[in-house]
Amino acid sequence: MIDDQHDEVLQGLAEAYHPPPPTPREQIWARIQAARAVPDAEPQVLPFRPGIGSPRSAVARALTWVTGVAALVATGIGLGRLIPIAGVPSPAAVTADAGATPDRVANVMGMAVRHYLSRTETLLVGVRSGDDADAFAGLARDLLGMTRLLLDSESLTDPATRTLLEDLELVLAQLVVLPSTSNPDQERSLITASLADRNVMDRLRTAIPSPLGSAPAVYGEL
Amino acid sequence: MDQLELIGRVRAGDPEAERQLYDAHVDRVYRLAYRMTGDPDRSADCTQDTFIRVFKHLDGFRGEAALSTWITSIAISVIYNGQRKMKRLRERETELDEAAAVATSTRASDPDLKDCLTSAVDALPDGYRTVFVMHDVEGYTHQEIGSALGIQEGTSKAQLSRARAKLRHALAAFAGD
Repeated sequence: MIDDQHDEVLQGLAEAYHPPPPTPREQIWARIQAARAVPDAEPQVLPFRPGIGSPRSAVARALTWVTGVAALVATGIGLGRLIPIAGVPSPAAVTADAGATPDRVANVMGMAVRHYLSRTETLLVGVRSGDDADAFAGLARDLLGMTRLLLDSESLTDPATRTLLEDLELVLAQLVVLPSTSNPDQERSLITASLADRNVMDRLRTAIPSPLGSAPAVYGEL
Repeated sequence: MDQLELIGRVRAGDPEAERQLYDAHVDRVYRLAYRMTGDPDRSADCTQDTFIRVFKHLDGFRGEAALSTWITSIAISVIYNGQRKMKRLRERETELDEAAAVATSTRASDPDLKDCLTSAVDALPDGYRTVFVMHDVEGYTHQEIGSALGIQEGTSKAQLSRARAKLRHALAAFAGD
């Protein structure tokens, strides 16, 4: 009863939450037209696919395929572990299955994050050890796309992981454009210094749990 | 002109059709952006980015959902990205699940019930807040919300229920129940 009364109050107050003024239609339209009139006017959205034609882009594409397949396999393994294989599941399994959807999502999300973090760690180790910038730009681009997908996911609720991913997003964006910068060596030094300043590698390794452990619940709530 | 014809003309580069599409949907996008950000400049930025993306990617619109839902999903993505950047800029480490606590602390400094609700809604986790704003404030259906956010209708209902529970708790604390 009290809840109903509160709901009525909520309904009445909801309209007062950030009440919008009239839409500045002409102003926004003018800005859209101006932005579209300039080449590459879209907000700096980095292309997710490697360029076509260069010899190294073939390597990057191959890496993309390999990592994509690996992600698929990881997801399949995860679902396989979660879904009973036997033809007739036990009553307990049925009960657990019926109510476990959020857990299943959490586990798959946990695996995706672990897989992503492991690949990112491998990449960053290569960066620090001086690998050729062109060689990892494609992988950085793919990981950048994955970063944005993960950050856009509501299932990723752990603030620490989100903060880490936001830092990694910036690093990966820098790595994507590194080969095209005028002084890649200097840029790489800045990136490496930034990694050290923000303690990224240690946080990254801390965030990668043991493969034998279960997925942390923090990825869970939908 | 029906929606399919309008989309076809926009895809063909007809500027008049682009303006018609913009006029048909801009209020909905701007209102949602404003409700979510509470800031006129950021709302205008989000609306601008949304329509730039709409025009750029309209070729990829397959028609599985209503055009308005597709545009809303782009708007939500743009709004979320903007909020992430703002959070990063402010380096604000907000605990996502402390709506009631924030609302309670607000009460001491500002006794206005609407301000209390605003603080409580602001403090909701992003998913809850989005569903609450879309459903209870802007009047979207759970089906529309599910399509726009890429979640099940049931999930939308569950998130709304949890959001309301948190807000009820905040209001109860304010009222001294």
